[in-house]
Amino acid sequence: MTIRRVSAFIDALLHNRRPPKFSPDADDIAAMRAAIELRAAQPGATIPNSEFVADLHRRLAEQQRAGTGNLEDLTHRRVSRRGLLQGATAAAAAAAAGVLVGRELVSNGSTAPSAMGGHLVPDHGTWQAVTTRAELANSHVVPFTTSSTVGFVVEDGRRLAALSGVCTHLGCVLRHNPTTNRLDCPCHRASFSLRGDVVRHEFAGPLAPLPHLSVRERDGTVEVYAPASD
Amino acid sequence: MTPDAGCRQGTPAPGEPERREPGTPRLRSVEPDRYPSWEAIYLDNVERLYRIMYSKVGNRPDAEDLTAQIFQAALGPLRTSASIGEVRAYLLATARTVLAAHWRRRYAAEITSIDVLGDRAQLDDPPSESDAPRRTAAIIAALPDRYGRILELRFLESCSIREAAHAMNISLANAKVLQHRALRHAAALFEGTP
Repeated sequence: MTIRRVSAFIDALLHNRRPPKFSPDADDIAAMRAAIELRAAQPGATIPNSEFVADLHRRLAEQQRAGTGNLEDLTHRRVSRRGLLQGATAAAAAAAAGVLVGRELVSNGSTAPSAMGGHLVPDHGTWQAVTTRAELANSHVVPFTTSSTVGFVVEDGRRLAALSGVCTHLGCVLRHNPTTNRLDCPCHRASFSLRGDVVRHEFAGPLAPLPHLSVRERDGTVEVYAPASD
Repeated sequence: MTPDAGCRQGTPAPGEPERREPGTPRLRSVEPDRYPSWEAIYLDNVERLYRIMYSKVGNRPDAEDLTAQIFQAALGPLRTSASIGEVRAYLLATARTVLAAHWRRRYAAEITSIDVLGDRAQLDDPPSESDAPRRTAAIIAALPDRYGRILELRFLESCSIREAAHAMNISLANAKVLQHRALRHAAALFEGTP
């Protein structure tokens, strides 16, 4: 009887305890969602405990010192694309992986962009449907998001291409500008052609072109080869 | 008309050359705000992020665990050269993944999720503490009397379900059913309000 389980869930919230596991149905989920909202609305409920803040600060400092997340090391570390995509797939599902892929591919100003651009081939990828031929016939440039990647599918004449949609500078998500037919970065005004080449940027060092992804069409559905989500 | 010396002159129109007195230094663009260290990232965002996570799970142990997971996962790949906006976008993307995994593990269903636009606004500018209780009181007031009463007893007066049943002169089992129905009704109202 899930009404009893939901009642136990609410009891846990009201006592700031971890709620028990169970298998909720759709009505239970709605009730749980409302209970969370009501609980979080209580005055002062969302203020973190200062001991927790201090303890997490200490744990993160240890993590940084141990080098498992050293910012300086990571800033200067080069990661191979294959290793990167494998790591991104395992480490960060859903959108976070997309951001991670973008961030690790960005240039750090100290390296030439020769290793960037090119073609992304994930070690553990799957073909994922992202749009249809009919939609491409209308707009020629279609943005897509998979659980691990953001990008654009471009139809140039009869040729299909898929590009990463993440700026190679700092990882901002690009936007298609239909007036100029370019991919513009909203953060620092870099711009890429629909072939992935850098059209303009304002940085002192070189900027890498956008990497391509494998793309294919099957029965009117356009698919890209991207890292699997889990 | 000659502009006053103290007035700020506009930027040149498109195509119009920039007017600059010989010898005056060219204006330099200011670097976007950046964090000087990972500690600055943590200290500026920990409470903001905790509040969002608490509003998604409704209890302290889970909100603390998820907040810790987000920072532990995010601080590695983050660079201190990223702007504050980019850091927060990345923290929120990580939060979305961490929260989805939490619900999948616990209930095999997504109970709440991160709304990238709405929650980003809260991350940038946390709402006042006084907003939520007002909205909650309005929701409870909009419910049928008995639904509103049981939620009031449970969430505003911190009564146990047994105490709420006693106060409403109904059985314990009926109180649980009433509470469940009231929450479903409230969920529909929450979805309809900004």
